[in-house]
Amino acid sequence: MLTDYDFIVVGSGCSGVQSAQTLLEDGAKVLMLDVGIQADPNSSIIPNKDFIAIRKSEHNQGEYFLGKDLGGVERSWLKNKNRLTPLLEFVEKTANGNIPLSGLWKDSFLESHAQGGLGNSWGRGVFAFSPDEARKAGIDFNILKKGYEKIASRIGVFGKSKMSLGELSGLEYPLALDKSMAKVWSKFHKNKMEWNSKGVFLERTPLAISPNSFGDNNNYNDMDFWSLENTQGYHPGMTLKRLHEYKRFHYKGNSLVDSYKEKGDIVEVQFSNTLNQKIETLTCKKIIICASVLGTARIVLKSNKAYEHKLPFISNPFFYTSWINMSMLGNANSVMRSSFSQLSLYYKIKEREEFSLMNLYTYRSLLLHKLIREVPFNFRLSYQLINILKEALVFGGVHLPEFQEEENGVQLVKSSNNATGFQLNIDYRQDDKRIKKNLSSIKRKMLSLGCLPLFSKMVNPGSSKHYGGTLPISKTPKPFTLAPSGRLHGSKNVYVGDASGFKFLPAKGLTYTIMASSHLIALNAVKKERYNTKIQLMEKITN
Amino acid sequence: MKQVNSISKYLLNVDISERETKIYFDAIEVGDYPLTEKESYILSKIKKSAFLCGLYDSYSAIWNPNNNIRKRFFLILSILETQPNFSNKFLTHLTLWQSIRIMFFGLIKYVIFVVLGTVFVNVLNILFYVNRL
Ligand SMILES: Cc1cc2nc3c(=O)[nH]c(=O)nc-3n(C[C@H](O)[C@H](O)[C@H](O)COP(=O)(O)OP(=O)(O)OC[C@H]3O[C@@H](n4cnc5c(N)ncnc54)[C@H](O)[C@@H]3O)c2cc1C
Repeated sequence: MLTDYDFIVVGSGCSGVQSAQTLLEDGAKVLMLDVGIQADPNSSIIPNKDFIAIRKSEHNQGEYFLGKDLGGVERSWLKNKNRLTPLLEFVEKTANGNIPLSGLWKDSFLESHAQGGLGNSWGRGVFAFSPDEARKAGIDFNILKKGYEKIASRIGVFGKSKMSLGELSGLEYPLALDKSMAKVWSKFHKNKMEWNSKGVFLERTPLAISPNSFGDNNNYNDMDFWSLENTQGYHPGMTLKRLHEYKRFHYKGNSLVDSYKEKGDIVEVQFSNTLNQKIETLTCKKIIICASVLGTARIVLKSNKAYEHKLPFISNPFFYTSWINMSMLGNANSVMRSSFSQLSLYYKIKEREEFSLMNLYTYRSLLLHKLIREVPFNFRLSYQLINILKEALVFGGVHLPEFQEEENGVQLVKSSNNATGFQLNIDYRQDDKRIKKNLSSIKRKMLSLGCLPLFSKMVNPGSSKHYGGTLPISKTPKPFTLAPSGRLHGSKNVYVGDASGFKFLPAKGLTYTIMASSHLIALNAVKKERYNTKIQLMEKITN
Repeated sequence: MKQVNSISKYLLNVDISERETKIYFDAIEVGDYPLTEKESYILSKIKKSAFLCGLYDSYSAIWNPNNNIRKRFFLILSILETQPNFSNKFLTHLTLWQSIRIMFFGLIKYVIFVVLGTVFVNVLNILFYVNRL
């Protein structure tokens, strides 16, 4: 059986790079096909200094804080269009141009056709599913746990929180809290027992901080949201760099995978070059698709010619909140801090429900003018107000758990308005009442922790950027489902390594679980391949 | 230069240099900062005085917060925030007493400016239509 590669991995996001590393560690010859554009070369213009030093000394800081030609200012003015900081905008630049999304909320579902995928801009919050959450998602926790520990050794997990990480080993100590968060923390701990008895838990947010690349701990330079070069927060580019050290690793960029075809034991993968539209085909023994939930759905539906077939789809409901930490009024917050989430507040609306989660951040490095724009006074007074409150501002991103709902799904539909001839239609409904209930519940809790509500922002479905469930894991071989090993039912050698299989999304971020499960899926696939090769060899000998 | 300086003076009570002025005009040239005929007229009247900029902004913060002149004010505010000369205006810590004082006088001034601004902008509107006749 002659193929170009042992494995083809589609995508270089968090899932793709972890799958590829596992395959390479096992000795396989791997090709990564990726449509992703590269990081903004301007990233290197940001000096390796902390936020305050940059603000006080760099004359060209507007180029990266406000973007080329100050384009970021216009996006801040439009409020809702301001998703990523200017030098990270490459993350979402080309996806819609390559294969568009359609549907009512198409603009709030974020896809990345960038090298490293959405992982270039993720908040680095690492959360492990509990055994119960894993079961609901369709994953065997005992196996998943090994995946978590392996990934922790690769990316560096800083945090020992019980609710967020359970009893995993190999973890580092959490990052230091700044003064503002330390006050909330100590207020909670005064009545910890009482809070816990009501089902409310506050923990330090565990983070993926890559210790190998830079030293042993975070540099607290508070530039984490601005560039990939001056952050210790893990991003897939760090792993991709390591993959290139293997001779058996091959990377083909600008390659938009269209479909695969199984011919006996061989998988033929068809892709087009996004620069010259040339269509190419390469072969492998097994393919692992890690093109993100929406990207993978396109490839699988197209390969099976399942046009108009509706796949299920899950996305966590999400909203923003902001607070004034009253005990910080008139006090200065710590100078050295990280931009990432510092505290995670778990709570339940009803006893039998799953936990909701609010991650808390203090605000500084995203600059004040964006907030001034939100205040309804004239700019002078708005500036004065925000300038006074800046040390006390706390932001919360709230995620709600989500199960599969029947009406929510994605479909590949024919379309004449782009080169591929298709678009992916998303049908999604969100329960706004549930969000409002969560908001009022959080308000009560935060008030008890000394934080006054400032404003909250309801956002459209899809804004959580946490997606799953299109090809749910199933022990029985039904079409468009995955076996627990990650193999697509009905196929022989097609595996899916991203969150497509997750049948339930807890409120926790899912990326640590994506990485752990993609590692396990790759491990499974490579073992299976070795076993197949052995059998074939034995057959040859006996013949 | 005069225009940008009046607005900066109104926003942060600072005088700006040619450098910030150039950044502002470059951004306006490539970005999407159009003005209607009436907005151009109003800007031409208020640009000479920080006080008038304040009146106009206080009025429009309530009645028309997304207008194109305010968008230019916002652009200048963003430019000032990202210039090392003015970073202290955004980074310095204020004591509780300073904060209370600033907010107390700020709020009183704001209310007065909204009232005066409403009269001022209505007069400008009338003048604009009279000039067009
Ligand atoms: C602002 C933000 C903050 C976040 N914060 C957190 C957090 O704190 N914690 C957390 O757990 N999660 C977080 N997330 C979510 C997290 O980023 C994603 O869950 C994760 O990155 C998904 O990884 P992935 O590999 O599945 O997909 P992606 O990262 O989307 O990668 C997909 C890859 O596939 C490639 N690709 C797609 N289609 C094709 C094709 N047809 N052919 C070839 N290549 C293709 C793309 O180029 C890309 O490289 C956040 C997301 C965002 C946007």
